[in-house]
Amino acid sequence: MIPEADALLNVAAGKLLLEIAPNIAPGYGQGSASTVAMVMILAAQEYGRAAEVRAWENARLRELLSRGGVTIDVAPGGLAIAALNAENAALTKLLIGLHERAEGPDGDAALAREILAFLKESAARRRLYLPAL
Amino acid sequence: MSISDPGLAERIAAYLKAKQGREATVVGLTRIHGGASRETYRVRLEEDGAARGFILRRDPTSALIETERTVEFAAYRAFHGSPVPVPEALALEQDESWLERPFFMMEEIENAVAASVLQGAPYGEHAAKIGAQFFGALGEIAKADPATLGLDWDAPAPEACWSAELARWEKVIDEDEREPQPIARAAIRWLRRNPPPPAQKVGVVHGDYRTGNFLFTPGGDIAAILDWEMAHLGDPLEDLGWALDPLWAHHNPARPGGMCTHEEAIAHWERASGLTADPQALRWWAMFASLKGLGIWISAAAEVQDGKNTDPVNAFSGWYCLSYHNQIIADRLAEYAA
Repeated sequence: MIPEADALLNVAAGKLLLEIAPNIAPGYGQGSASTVAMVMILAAQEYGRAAEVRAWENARLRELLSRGGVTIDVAPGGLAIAALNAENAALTKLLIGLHERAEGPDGDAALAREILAFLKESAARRRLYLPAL
Repeated sequence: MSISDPGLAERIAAYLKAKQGREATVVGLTRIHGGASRETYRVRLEEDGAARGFILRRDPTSALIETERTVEFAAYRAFHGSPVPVPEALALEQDESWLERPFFMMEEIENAVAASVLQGAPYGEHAAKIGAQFFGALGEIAKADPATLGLDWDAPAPEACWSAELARWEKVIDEDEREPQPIARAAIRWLRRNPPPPAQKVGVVHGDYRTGNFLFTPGGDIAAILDWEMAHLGDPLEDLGWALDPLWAHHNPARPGGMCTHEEAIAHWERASGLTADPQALRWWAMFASLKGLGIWISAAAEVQDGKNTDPVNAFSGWYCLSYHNQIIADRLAEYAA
């Protein structure tokens, strides 16, 4: 659909932030309207990348779990965000356990570092940004 | 009157009459935008022909982090008149029959504002001056003797300050995470494997000492340190780690709090407190600060997800601040493991 949801969210956020909020009396209402606009800007960022980030994470999670010898009893659920999230949560839970074992005295330090590198890249991909005010 | 609770003004007037014998009319009542731990209102009164005002802090319907109003009230009482500027605490009311929820009243500080953490450079030409006051006042809090202040809160042993706080925030994450948090879990394990040295002293910890939680005048003077709802006794480095966290740097991590350099901040704090900010200990408290942040943001997200407190501040911090601290922690963990 044109315009896409992220474009609509950004346009609506701009209206709210620059035209509507300044016309509300200073205080809770004005502050909340501005904050809602910020949330819309964040939602626009998330909309565009949400499926890609989760699909990438889920593939990397399966690789890391396989490398750590973990039995993966999590079936892919499809490309809907809710399905990707459910898959992501199940795989991440397994990763937390693997990470803890890899860090242990009889663990696998190289694998632990690889997991940290994955977490670092995942955090960067999921990072949200605000426009300069 | 700018509020969606029209009966509140009348109930405040009724309270003032019944409990304080005052014949006052509430002529202005404005809710102040800010954190989600308490509802904050600016109350304007007409009383004996004169205009007066105060700030009212009421418990929310659902709190982001469960905080004790008596703690915040006691902290204001304790530090009023000290080198740490705070508003005067006027009255604490635990009886829910007056305003539906417990509340307290405190002095209104006029002609002073709080910065928004979203602003690029809120302190302008006064940044260095405010930085000296801000980190100096934090040093004064660290220097204060809790017993002399009459703060009889539970005091952990010096060697247990870190583990008590880590357990507190791990519990918050355990209870409030609505999806697995691999970065928070990795940070918790790192913090356990790398404990800091015992606290130099067990002192007052403000708990949320940062830019945005104080009022400053147009001339660059700090008029009041606010938001003591997470105050407790512990290692004073906890507050320093939180105040230095890059989330509060107004988009410039080289200037903590958007005020001064890291080195200047520590020098101000050490001078005022008489304590030392050991770099290794501070590294631990810096990692802890970002984890504590995650705990708060995870709770904020849960409040929204569960529909308990849908204040947009919770939605914002449950997304933006969470993503920020996840990246800070993940970067540090990878760096320390390299």
